[in-house]
Amino acid sequence: MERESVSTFEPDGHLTPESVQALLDGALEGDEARAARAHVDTCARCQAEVEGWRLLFSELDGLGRLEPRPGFGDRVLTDVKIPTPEALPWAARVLGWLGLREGRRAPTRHLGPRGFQEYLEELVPERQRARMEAHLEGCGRCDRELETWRAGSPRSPPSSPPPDSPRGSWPGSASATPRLRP
Amino acid sequence: MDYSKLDDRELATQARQGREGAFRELLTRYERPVFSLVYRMVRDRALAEDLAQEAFVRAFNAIDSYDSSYKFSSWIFKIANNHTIDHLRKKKLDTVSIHGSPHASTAEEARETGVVVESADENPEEYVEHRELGDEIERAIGTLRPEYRTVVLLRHIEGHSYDEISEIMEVPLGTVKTYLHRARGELKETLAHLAS
Repeated sequence: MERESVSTFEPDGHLTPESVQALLDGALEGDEARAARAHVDTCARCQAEVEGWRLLFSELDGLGRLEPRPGFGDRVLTDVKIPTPEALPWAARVLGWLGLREGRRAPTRHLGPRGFQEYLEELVPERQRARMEAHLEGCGRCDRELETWRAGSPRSPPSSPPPDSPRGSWPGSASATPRLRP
Repeated sequence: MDYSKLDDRELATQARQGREGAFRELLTRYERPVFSLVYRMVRDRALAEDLAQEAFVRAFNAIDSYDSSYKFSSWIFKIANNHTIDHLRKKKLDTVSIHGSPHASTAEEARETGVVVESADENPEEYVEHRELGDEIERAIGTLRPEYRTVVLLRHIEGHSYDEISEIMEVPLGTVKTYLHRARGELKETLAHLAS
């Protein structure tokens, strides 16, 4: 499939399609580029070919970047082991004594009222649900809270939410950002 | 410290030293480009967020392995692309079935074997995806095989050079040129059919 060298021109003297694209990409250099441009200046067929590819390139170049939902960065950092700052070697020793030497995680975020609701109503995507379940296995507080929700109506919050629950739902749940409606 | 003033290599150094702000700045710079690439590869917004998130987590947890002689953007795109390709291979989804059989040999065959979603009953997520990826050029990109999609997206949206794409995809330079040429040829043909 791979060729060591590619001729700029076909046997009939016109530019190869690869050369036209390379010309538009700015990937031809020196004499090759000069010869290709000189030919296009005088050849109606190759001019049309260049123009056709230029339109496609323009469409592709005009494609925008798409955005993840707000809070994407927070969700990433929840699972990142941030190394212990080297500027504080004494901190590394203390963390070592505490068994946390390998690094610290970004602060744990517990489920909020909306998170519990969506979990019980099975409104979260499968991967998010798996992460929530992993958290529930290791977090006694959220596990107990979940049981409180299960015991009551799924739509009504407990009478007194935990005082330091983060606002909003689990990071990354379907309702962390309002859904768009047509 | 104002991390926005640091270049990527300096940010990576700060991140290795445990500066959370450096990680956040890298995320600010690359979350949209990486997500865009992955979303157009898998064409499922929720899945793309998961895969992009996992790619960043892998990269950041392995920040010590980043070789600063390479561009950080090449490194993070490589991780994201490989992770996405691995997922597609596991799911055996060469192209999105909604846009035709992955074994279709021509654009017309792909169109005839595809399904057009124009249902008024689309759920909100499908509506967003359809609106974001529903125009002709996006649909045409969706018919490409994964490696062709990658080169087109890296070249035209991210503006990477042939050499950088070769580094990201870990294929020879000649292969990048071949992939680009063929991908663009397929797009031109697909768009001509859609226009007619």
